[in-house]
Amino acid sequence: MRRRSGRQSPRAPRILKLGCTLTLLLGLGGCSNGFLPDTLFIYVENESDLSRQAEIGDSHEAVLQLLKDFEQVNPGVRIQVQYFPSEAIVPATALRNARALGPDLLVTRLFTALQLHEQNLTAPVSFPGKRFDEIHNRFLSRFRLANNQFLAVPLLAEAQLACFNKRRVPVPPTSLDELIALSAKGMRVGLPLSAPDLYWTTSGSEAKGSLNALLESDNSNAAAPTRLDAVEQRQLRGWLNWLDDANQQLNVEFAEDVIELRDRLGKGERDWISCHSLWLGLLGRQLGSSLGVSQLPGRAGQPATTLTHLKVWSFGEHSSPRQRQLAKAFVLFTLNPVNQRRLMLDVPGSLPVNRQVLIPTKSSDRFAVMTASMDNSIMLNLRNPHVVEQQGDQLNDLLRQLILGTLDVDGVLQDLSAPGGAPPDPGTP
Amino acid sequence: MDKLLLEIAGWLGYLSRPLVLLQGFAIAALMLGHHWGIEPRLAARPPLVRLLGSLGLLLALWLSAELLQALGQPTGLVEYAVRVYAIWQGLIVARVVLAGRFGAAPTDRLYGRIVKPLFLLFLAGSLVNQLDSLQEVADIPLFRLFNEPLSTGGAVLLFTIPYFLVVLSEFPVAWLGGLLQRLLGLSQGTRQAIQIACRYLLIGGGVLWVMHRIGLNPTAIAAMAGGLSVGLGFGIKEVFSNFISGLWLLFEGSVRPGEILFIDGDPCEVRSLGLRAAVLWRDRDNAELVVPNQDFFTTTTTTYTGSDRMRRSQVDVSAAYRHDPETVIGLLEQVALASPRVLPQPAPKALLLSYGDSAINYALRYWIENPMNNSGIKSEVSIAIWHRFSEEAIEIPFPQQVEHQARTDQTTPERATDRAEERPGAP
Repeated sequence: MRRRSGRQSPRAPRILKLGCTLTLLLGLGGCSNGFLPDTLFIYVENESDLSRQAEIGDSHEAVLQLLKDFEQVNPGVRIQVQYFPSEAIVPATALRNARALGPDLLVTRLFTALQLHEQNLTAPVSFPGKRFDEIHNRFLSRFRLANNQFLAVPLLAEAQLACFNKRRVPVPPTSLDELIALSAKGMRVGLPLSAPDLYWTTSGSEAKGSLNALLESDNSNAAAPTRLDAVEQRQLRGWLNWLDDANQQLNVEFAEDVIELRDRLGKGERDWISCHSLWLGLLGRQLGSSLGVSQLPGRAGQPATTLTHLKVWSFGEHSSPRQRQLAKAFVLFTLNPVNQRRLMLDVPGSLPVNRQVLIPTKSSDRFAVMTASMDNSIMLNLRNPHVVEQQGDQLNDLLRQLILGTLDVDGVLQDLSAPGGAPPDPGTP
Repeated sequence: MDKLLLEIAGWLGYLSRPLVLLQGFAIAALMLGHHWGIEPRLAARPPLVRLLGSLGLLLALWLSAELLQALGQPTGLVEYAVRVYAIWQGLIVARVVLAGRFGAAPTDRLYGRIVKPLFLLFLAGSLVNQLDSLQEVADIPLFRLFNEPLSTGGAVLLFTIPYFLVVLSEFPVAWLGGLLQRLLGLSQGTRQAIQIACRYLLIGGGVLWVMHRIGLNPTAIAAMAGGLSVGLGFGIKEVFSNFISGLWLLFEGSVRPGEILFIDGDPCEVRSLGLRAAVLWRDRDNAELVVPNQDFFTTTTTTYTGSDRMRRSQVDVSAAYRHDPETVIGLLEQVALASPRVLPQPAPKALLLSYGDSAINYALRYWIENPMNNSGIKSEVSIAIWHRFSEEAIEIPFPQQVEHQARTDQTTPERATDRAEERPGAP
């Protein structure tokens, strides 16, 4: 007996240690409201694929203030924010979700939110009662699922505009033809080189519908490739011809990184660019009173139709009940009229999604232009984000080749009709 | 610093998620079960059995990940644990292989100084990357250094890069030294000097790069250099003097690792020349002497390895007057030539030094290859002389003293005695 007890005695502290460890872990796990902090993890998508600048641009302070205010009204809650470039936020979320360490909330562009939802990286949420009655229905309807659930919740709206130097361009062009004409007179024009950012240029050739159909067609099915009918082909040809004409102009420059356009306007190297409302704060500081803003030119004096840009909230997949509760509370906090108004004023280029917030269109030309541009925008029916992404990438590649001169309009149309074909001969004029 | 602590504290928020806890429990239970239940039982077993035990844990972790996946639960943390543990086991196996190939001591040194710290760094970085963005954590400001904000990443670089520079620079520099030695036919000492100088350059350059990388502006570095110069004038004059002396000695070549110096009457081998002091090994008592570098500047240094490593040694011996000096000289030279560790060239030389009171004094001079072996060879030669003299009946006389005592009242001439002392065993 003595020997037996002697054998057991060294194990006693081990078992004790194991017990203590497990108890500690259980305690930590079980007492989420005890000494474990209430932490809300938020991922934010950056502005450009090629830039590390945050999506919220230079409005870091405004957002930090919002976080502080929420932490103040919810003592013990801490919010950790991580920023990701556009191309990294989906893989990063997938990686962390695989460990159950994903975010509780994500602030992304609309398209990214749809991608996250498509890949089951975010969770639909429901809000009781009529919490969203104040939100513009045109923004909210796209996110509504069955059973009163939402795949995402809009946070802020942004507009696509024309930004120009008023000293060089006293009167902005109101049509695409005027834009070309002005560039012929020496106005230096900057245009983005991506299909979604060039969407507004389809207004001149009424190719909107064709481009929508093209972007949303699933060409991965080689057995049944997309066929463009004659009307669509004609519309797209018109659009591509205009881009080709613009590219022939000495003073028109296409930029792959949209941030480059902003910087060049700020430095005085461009006179007119297609710009994003979020840039207005920085451009305003760089150009001062010389910064002019207008709606993008369309056809026959009518403004162009742009794509609706939204910042949206998505909810993480693995939040604890407490974290989900806090996430919902935070989203509602950011959507209340007071904070929506504050965000509108403190984050230049943002428009509220809450209808109760009055936008100062009469006292501010910029808000008037932004509101008009937003009213004139449409939201694509992005049912299959991965298809749109694939199609967008292909279209971007073809546009790049068109601008670089390695492919002509016919070649682009041919490739659009027969995707996955042989690469164009570099020697083709 | 507060921001970093808050960030780390925030990670605890993940523990409120049941699926994180589930994975954590699976990992902890298997790890602790292996550590407390399996490892003690295998402790006395051969390494292969212990390795199998570890592979068993790896398999158990992998199976738990598969089980969680089958249940539709996230498994990333368990898979991460599997990968990290597999890497660690791989390193353990590599250690056994390396120890068999290069020996246990250098392998232990490699693991203790490089592999384990690198693995620890990798583990910390990858763990942070699981919980947060490594880049953003690295960007968190800690405190101000020379009026410049020092980020977490900068602080990590500031502490780790110099360490790894010191530890890792040894290998490329040794390779470069070996290459130069082969190409240019350098001596071992010159090779060592080049290696140490290159190492200092590498470390110095690395430290300057780190300072630039973490954003210390040149003005701050200049201010630091100014502060140092004042410090040099007062507090650390000796340290700096020793450092400069060490560099000087390296290039001068008088004190280099491998040199044999005469310190306090003993030959000592220079083992290393450090920033502050040289470490010398004394064969006589296997002692290591740490001698400040500047001592070599202020005192005369006797070296046996300045131009070559040979040393001329000498054995003194006496022979009785009745023996022909030329015979004795010939015998002595024969004895020296017969000694295996005495160099035949330059040839040993015996000399008649002087006529003593009771014997003729001779010296046998000969050359040896390694100065550190002097005492042993001297003993061998002396013993050989004793034997040869014994064979040839050559007497090594001992001094004889005759005391004459004047006769007094108390003593008679008969009581006066002649006393002589004999050395037992003298031939």
